[in-house]
Amino acid sequence: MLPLAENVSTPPIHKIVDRYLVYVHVPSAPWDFVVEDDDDSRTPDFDKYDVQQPHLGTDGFSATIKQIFALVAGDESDGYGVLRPTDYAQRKTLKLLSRAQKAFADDVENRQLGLSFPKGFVATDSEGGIRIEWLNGDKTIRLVVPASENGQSYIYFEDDSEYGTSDRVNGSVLAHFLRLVR
Amino acid sequence: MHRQTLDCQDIVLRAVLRSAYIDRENNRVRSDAFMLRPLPKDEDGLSVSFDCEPAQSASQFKKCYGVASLHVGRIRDLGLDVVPDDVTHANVTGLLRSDDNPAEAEHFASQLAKQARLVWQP
Repeated sequence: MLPLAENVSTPPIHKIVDRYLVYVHVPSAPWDFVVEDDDDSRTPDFDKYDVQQPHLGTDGFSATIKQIFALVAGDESDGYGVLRPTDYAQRKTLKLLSRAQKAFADDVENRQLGLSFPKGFVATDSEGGIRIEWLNGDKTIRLVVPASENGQSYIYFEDDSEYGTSDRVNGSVLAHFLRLVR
Repeated sequence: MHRQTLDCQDIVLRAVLRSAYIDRENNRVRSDAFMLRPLPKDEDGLSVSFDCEPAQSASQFKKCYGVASLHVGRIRDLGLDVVPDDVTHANVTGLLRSDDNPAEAEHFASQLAKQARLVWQP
């Protein structure tokens, strides 16, 4: 086991790192944050996941991740409902974002155009599911991950002429949609 | 005795009960604030108030991060309605839940968010 990254700087992130025993490996890319497990049905247990988190900086991907960590470190509930993301929602969202970030970064056209992963705005629904919204002008993309495996994840897209959802949700699909808001 | 109907020129107020539901960079309310919660919550629709000041609307809640105003007529333009059930309380009806129809639920929430004007913050 390698030591934790030294420049994990903000208190909420420290808290998460401690809570979930995140082990950091030598990063293969500046923004690897990989949850190595495809089985969403397992009981949430972050000790079982291998998470690469070299550091979080100021780019769009890390700014999005930081908001999830802040919610995880915050109050469990409020007058509206469950405020803290459920373990299922955390795990699934981190996995999707990680894979979307990799797909986004690996895309030749994105690289040629110098496009970086866009910053999303994170909130929870009243059950502890995670909602992330990306906006650019009249274009909107939302990733919605339910509180439990009983719900349905989807990606919502909207511009000035059409809207709809995709229930095919994986990193590549999310990366494809996110190009629309760059 | 409360009003049975609201006029199109009436304004209703939506209390925003989560900090993350306000986009402070752009001083607007996010669509999240206009999504119906799973049943039995929001059973009668999306809760709004009327015939009161924004601060009064906010004071009904232990913690309120903002109050947004919407025109009843513009809500009706979306095919929705606003139905009073108390002296200063009404419900926006016709919205769908994301469990039933996520595309329409999200679209209505987007449209309401675009119409909403943030008129009070603590």
